[in-house]
This record gives sequence, C-alpha cells and structure tokens, in this order.
Amino acid sequence: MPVVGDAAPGDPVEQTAARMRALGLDHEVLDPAATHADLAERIAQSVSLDALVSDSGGLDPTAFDSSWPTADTE
Amino acid sequence: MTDIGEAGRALRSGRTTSRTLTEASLAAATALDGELAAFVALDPDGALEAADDADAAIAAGRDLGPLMGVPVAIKDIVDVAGLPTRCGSPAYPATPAATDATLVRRLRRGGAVIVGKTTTHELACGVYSPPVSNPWDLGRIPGGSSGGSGAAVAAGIVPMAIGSDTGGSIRIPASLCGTVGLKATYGRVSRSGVAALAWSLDHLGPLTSTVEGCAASLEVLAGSDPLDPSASSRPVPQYSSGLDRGVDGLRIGVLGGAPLEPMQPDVAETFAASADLLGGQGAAMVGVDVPELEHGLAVEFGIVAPEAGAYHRELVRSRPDQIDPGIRTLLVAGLMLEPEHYFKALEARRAIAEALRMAFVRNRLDALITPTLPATAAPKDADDFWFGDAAEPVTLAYVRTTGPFNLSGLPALSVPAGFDRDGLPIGLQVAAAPFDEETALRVGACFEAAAGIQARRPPIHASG
Repeated sequence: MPVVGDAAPGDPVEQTAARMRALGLDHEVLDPAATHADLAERIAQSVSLDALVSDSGGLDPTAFDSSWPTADTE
Repeated sequence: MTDIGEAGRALRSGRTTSRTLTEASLAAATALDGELAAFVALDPDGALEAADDADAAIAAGRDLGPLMGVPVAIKDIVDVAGLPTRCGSPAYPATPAATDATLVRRLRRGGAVIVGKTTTHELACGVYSPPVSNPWDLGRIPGGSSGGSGAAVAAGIVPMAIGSDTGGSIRIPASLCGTVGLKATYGRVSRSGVAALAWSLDHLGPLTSTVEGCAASLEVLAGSDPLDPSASSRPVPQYSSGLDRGVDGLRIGVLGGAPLEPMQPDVAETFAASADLLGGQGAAMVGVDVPELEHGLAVEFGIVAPEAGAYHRELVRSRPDQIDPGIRTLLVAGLMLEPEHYFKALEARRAIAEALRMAFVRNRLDALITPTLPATAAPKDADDFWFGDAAEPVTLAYVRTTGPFNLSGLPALSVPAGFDRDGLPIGLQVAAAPFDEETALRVGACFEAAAGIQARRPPIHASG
C-alpha cells in the first residue's frame, strides 16, 4: 500500500525514500524504512478517526460556541 | 517565601523587600541547581535591578499589581530580552533575544522580578524534561515539557513560573511536582514571542504554589495583544476576587471512562476522595462520560505532527542530527503526511470539542473534574507504565487525560489532591467553560482549602 500518496509502483520503502529526497529530507540520520513504518502507524490512527468526523463541522479552534453556560450566567 | 499572596502582603506591609526575596530566590536556585537542574539561565543583575525598582515603587506608594516585587521564572521557549531562547535544543543559538515576549512585558509592567529561565523538554515536545529532577524524588521525572518550571515552584525557588501547554505541558509538571498549574482558555494569554510547538494547541500559563497565586498571575498575564491575532480581547476579570465563594450550588461533572482508564489505584482512590470532598462542600457531583475522548490521542498527535513539522521544517532539513530521535520522527512524519490527515484531525478535534460542550450543556455543568494524570511521576529511565499486564508509554499515558482540553481550548487547572503510597503528588484537574477561568479557580481554591495539603513540602526545598 502506498503510504504517502505516491502512485508509482515498486518497493514502498523506496517510494518513501524518494519522497523524502524530494522534500529535502535525505540526511543520513533519517531512515526511510523507519519513516515508512512510522507513517503507516500514523495513517492507521488517522483512519480510526473516520467515524468521528462525519458531522463535526468547522475547524477554527477559537470559535467557541456562544451557547456555553457559565456559573455566572445560569 | 513561596506564595505570591504571602509575598505581596509582606512587601506592602514592609515586613520584607523585593531585594530580600530576590536574593533568596537567586541563592536557592543556585544552591539547588546541582540536584534539580531547574534553570538554564539566571539573571542576577537584571533581577536585582528590577527588585530595587519594585522596592522604590512600593516606597513611593505605587501599586503595580499582585506580582509587584515577586520573583518569577520563565520557561526557556519564551523570549526574555537579553537572554537566549534555547528551547532545550542544541540547535538553537545562544544569541540573546532582542525583545521580550508579550507576556514578559506584562510581567515587567506589573513589577514582577524575572530571576531566570527554566529548563524545558527539547522543543517543548516531551514529558521528561531532562536533566531536571523531581523535588519529591530525585530519581523521578518532573514532567514536561515545563519541567524546570514545575521543579522550581515545587522547591520554593519562585512562587510562580511560566509554562506552555500543547498537550498538558503545564498541568503534567504541576501534577507530578505538586504545584498548581493553569492552562487558560485558548487565546486568553498571548503567544507572541514564544516558540511554537503546534500553534493551534499551544497555550501559556502559570505554575504556582497556590490557587490564589495562580489567579493573581492570570490577572497580569491575560489580555489582548495586537501581535497575536488569536489573543482574545475579552475583558480580563479580577480572578482573585471570587476565590472564596466556595462550590455550594455548583454542578461539577466527574469524568469517567475514556480517557481515564487505566489508571494507578492510588490515583483512582484520590480522585474518588476528591469528588467526595467537593460534594461535601456543597457541589452537586454528576457522573459524566464523553466516549469521543477515546480518540483524543490520535487527534492530538494528528495535529501536533504537521504543525510542529511545519514550524521546524528548516531545522529538520538542515540539522536533523541535532534533534532528539523521537522528536525527529514526529517532525518528519509531520512533513511527510498528506494534508488530508491533518484536516481530518482538525475536524475530529471539532467533534471532541463539541462532545465536551454537549457534556456541559446536557448536564448543566459549571465545571468538570478528572485526575490530572492517570499516574504519578515515572522513574527517569522508564519508557512505559504497567497497568496490570498492559504497558503504555509514559508520554501517552500522561497526555491522554490532559490533551482533550488542548483540543477543546477549555481552561483546565491542576491542583494538588494527594499523594500516592510512595509520597508522590497526585493532581486534580478542573476544567470549565471557555473563558470561565473564574469557576475553575473558584473550584480549585475551595478544593485546596478543604484538602489542606498545600503546606506539605518536598524533601528538596528552598527552606532546607
């Protein structure tokens, strides 16, 4: 399964390595195999959120709903 | 003198001077540094000059506010003019900051005396904060990422230190070190002049020895800022004025289920006793479940990775060898993941925020309590907690109870609640509605007074 959206065929780890090179992440301490495994885990976490986002609405973290009750307003 | 209120009263009555307090703070920071490593920099000259200014103001009858003449410390991700901002990282330069962060300017304007900068976990991204030690047990972590601030306050070096909190980094060290810590509502305290970890989750706030000191600190720190568009222009209340109102008549939710389980038995026992204590003070205690919080960690790290990766992208590209391997993995992932995952995490964050709002609305809650953390301070060499037969990484265990209030932006206070069988502190977390820090502090103050444990001091303390 391609991990980072690269549709090219071949070794998935090599695909990750190619993407890392394209992003300037080709330093010797950056391991494509470990990166590939880590990304797969994070994508699985992301997939686990599918059920939660179906009707969640907007994105703005500062947009607090005015219907919040407080001790002083009740 | 380890409390802001006590220091303020002594200063105004002439029983002490800011210079005396500041010299004692600097001496304690130096004397305990070998054991605690809470500070990365001290500024004795600047601090004593500020102390003398405060003493002159007091002598002239001027009152700059509750922090006038009080020694404080600043986490080393916050710019303080004349001192470097190293962010706990060898990759950051030793060049002094040219200007103060907005919150530092507010502190100076309020007459606070900045004695130095406290140790942070590298890039404010972790809960261990090496090489800082916990004043209650030098073999244990202080928590993080504001670990130096937690240790400095717990050890009585300063009565207040600034922390930052992206997934719990104020409340985690507050809980593990036995101090009060407040992550105010998103936007309540300006983030201008502060290095980011994840900008949509980052909060600033105080760690203090008492709830009264926390309220006084927030009065100084909070407010609008043209340099930070997310800083709210809502009026700043007199947080200290309502602390003695008690909890009689309040409805307080008691969170159960996700994300609290599993937790250590001593924590569970203390949490139950804490709820009983508040109920005994007249609050109506209401059991609450928010199943959506089960996804909190996936959402938290689904946002932190891309935002932190973007913020640090030049560092990751040019000097990845200077970044801790675990943090490096997070940052690389943030740069590699397709944007759809970030957007999904942002949507899921909204769902969690809405679920918490509905828990407040449906149950007519004024506040919601949880254990601040499911476990006490881990040994420095521990990677995992063991809950029965199940292992859980220390970082994830801590963040799962604190992170939901970063995702929702709600104010969340940690107040000391008790001790485990090894004498390690346990914290109680009190969350409230957006911009209702007054209620969180009011509940915290009532609990603090009723629990009566704030006088207990750790073995490593400025008082000797």
